[in-house]
Amino acid sequence: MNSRSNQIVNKEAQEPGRLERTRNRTVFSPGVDIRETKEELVVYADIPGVPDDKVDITVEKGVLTIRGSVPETEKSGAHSLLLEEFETGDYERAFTLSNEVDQENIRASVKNGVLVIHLPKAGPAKARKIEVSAS
Amino acid sequence: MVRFNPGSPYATTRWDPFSELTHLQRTLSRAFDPRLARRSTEFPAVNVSANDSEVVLTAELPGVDPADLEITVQGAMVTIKGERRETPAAEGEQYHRRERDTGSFSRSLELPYDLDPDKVRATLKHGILNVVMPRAEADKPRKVSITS
Repeated sequence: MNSRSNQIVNKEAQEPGRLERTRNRTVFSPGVDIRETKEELVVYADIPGVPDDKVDITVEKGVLTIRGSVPETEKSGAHSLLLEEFETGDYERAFTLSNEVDQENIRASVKNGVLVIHLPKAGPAKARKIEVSAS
Repeated sequence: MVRFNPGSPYATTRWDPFSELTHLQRTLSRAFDPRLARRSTEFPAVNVSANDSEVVLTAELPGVDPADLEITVQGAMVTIKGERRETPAAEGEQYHRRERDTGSFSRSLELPYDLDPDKVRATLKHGILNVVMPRAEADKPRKVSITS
């Protein structure tokens, strides 16, 4: 596992060109797995430290955006830092969705710091039968 | 394994110019390349802080079930061992992105203080492990009263 551990290490999120963040805080791009089955796409994202109610998922104009904020922990003043290998910050990452996704029925859950988003595929466009009325 | 320099300014009050330099270098490299400085060679990445009575270790362990995690404390050594399991793949499932690692891991750290293994408390919440390890009574700094 160690050999590939760099992949787990937090990567800073790319700052969208025209947008600026209001909070002066490091924002990480969470590592994700995206898996596809016949019925759905499933996105797994590592967002350690984000409580359930601080996850924000939006779908707008075909873009799925994941945001998670980690509550600020009160710094215990008397503790001195011996080792610091990771920083805490917020998470943000966006994906474009294809038309295949049924955007109304997206479900998400968070467990042990992993966000799981189920994106069901839209059923095949049903052939519409057009009645021809006899004149 | 990470071993703390016993002469580090964090561990004792003795001033050590070399660890000061290391600290400076780390600060500078972080300023120029934050990604590089944050990178740890071992999993999980940990933060460790301490005061006179306890040592606190935090680690990011998303996707690790508490049942798959084992923490052992012996003397000044703490070991975090566990496994990050993958959701089993359904038939015909395919990956589009695979950035999250899975598998077992083990990491040992030698802390600058002896710990009291009976009083160690650990919590795993939202994928963040928090271990509070009280220092061994015999190892705690003691105030010496001076008699005239």
